[in-house]
Amino acid sequence: MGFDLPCGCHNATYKQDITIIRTRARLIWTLFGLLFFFSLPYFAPVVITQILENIWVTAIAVMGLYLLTGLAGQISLGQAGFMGIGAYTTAIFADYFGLSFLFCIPLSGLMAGTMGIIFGLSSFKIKGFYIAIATLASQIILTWLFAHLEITQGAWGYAVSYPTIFGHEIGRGWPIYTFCLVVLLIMTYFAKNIARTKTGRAFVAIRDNDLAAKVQGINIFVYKLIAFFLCSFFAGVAGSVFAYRLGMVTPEQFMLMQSVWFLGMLIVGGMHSLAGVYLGTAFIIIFERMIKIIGPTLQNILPSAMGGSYIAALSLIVFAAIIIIFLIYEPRGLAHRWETIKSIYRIRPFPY
Amino acid sequence: MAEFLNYIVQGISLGSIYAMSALGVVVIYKATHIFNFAQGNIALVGAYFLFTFFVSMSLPIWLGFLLTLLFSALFGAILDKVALRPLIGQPLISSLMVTIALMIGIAGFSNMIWGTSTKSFPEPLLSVPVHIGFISTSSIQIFGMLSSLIVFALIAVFFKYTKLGLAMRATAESHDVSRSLGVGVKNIFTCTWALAGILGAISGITLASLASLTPDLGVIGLIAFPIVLLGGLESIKGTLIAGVLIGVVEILTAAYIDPLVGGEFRGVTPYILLLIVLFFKPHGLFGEEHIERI
Repeated sequence: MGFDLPCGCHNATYKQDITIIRTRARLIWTLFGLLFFFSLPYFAPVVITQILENIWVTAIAVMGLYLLTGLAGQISLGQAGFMGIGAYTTAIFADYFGLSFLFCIPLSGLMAGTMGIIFGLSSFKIKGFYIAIATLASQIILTWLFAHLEITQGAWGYAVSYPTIFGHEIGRGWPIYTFCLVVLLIMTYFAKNIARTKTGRAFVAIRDNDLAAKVQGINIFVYKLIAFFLCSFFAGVAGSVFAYRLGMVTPEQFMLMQSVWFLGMLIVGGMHSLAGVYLGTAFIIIFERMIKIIGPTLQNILPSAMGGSYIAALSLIVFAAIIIIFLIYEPRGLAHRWETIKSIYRIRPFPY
Repeated sequence: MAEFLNYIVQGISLGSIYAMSALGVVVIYKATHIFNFAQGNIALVGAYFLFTFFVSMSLPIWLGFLLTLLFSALFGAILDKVALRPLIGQPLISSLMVTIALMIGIAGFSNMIWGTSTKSFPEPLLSVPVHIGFISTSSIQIFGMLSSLIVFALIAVFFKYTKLGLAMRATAESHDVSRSLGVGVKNIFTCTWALAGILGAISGITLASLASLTPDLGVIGLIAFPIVLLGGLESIKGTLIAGVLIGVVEILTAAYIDPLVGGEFRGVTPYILLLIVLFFKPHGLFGEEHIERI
């Protein structure tokens, strides 16, 4: 805070310092943006709203990863697994017990968070690669459980009906779109504030130097567990909304590859800001969609000897290339680019 | 009892083959402190190289094998030059993410060139059942175990007695100090990746002839990570022991627990074992505990 204010605008009081929407211009932009996105389903084609729904849901999961990886500096390769726990919790409780989504969403989050703590326990004294592999292990174990446990109904999975509020179904089209967006906004508010409190600052201290953080009196073990809990909580909520939106839950939606995509989104967006979460998620999902659209056309042009798997293979290569290029040339991600663009008008008329 | 002993022997031979693919990760970690997620797919590409030379181009097996080693070494070196070199000095997550991206990229690359269909090696690399007393095994398992032992011995000697191995160990200790002592750190990195490519190719060929040559081999390569961590990340001896341990556990699970719970539970046990061991011994079974200072 403070650096990103326009010329001549200073924080004089504490209240001003902790305000999220500080200037009038920013308030206007925010309101305009909200209005735009909330009204989008009334005039935009269905394809666009579907992509956006996907972005909203995925951004929740990536936001959890932002707390764990971006702030606390621990790498997780198990985000999709925890998202799966949320999705299955929702499927079971909404389907069997007929609970309202008002209970199901927090419950899914808590369930995933608890599992996150259980798997995070092994990160007691470890860091770096060890945590990456420990989360990889949890991802593989969870995928196996989804496919083989009786309660998850194996490869068949569950069908989930749309959520209802006061007897009205939040169905296809604008209702479910608004539903996803509202949950995303609530979670964004939550994440934004976690990052600014004692917990968030402790995360950053652990990320920058865990020994120094320990010397300062931060209980590393507890804060690492909190980070794992929050990360999995967000994943659980994302999974819950994902289940409601898609209407079905199967094991192959939550494979290791999905976790890698989440990390990729965080890298591309820039892992140190919430804006990065949005930008990265949108970038990768739109890119994925483009491949799906361009793919068949490309296949017609290319010689048929290369076969149908050619496009799938190509999209893997392009995805890998994007991540490597971003890591080498823009390690701070799209968010950094976005900040530089914003600062151009903000510091006007001065050159820097 | 004979059955149990049989499982143990099978586990040991499978485990020593696993350990060989884990060795590639350990070698890279020892010299460059990068944890290479792409090792499984490097192994896959190595196996595809041999398939190309030996089956598609029908070269004699020794020539095909030599060419495979050469190309795998080149492949490893290219990976280092293209993806890892620009990231020296970047934080840990960058190098980790790059190797994960490489894992995906190589999978796409090999799917594109060699397709996704199942292939298998012909005669000399075909698995033939062998019976020694009451122990029944296969030719490839024996071959794999022997080659694994030879490779481990060679690598141990290499790190201990050769000049290049010593330079690699010095590089692992400190880039600056080894540079001031006249070690070309960049060349060492390239050599290490080339070595990892060779190790990957050998393990990939063994794994492919044990089962069959499919893109899934890259996923089987994931098994290397629990082994590496159990072994303690830098210990060559530890890698071999952890590999054998995991192989035995996996075969025993397949024999005794799989019928009870159903489904491929054997694939999960290494990871459960890993989480338990990490909880009690955070640096693996043979890892050194580094004392850190601010």
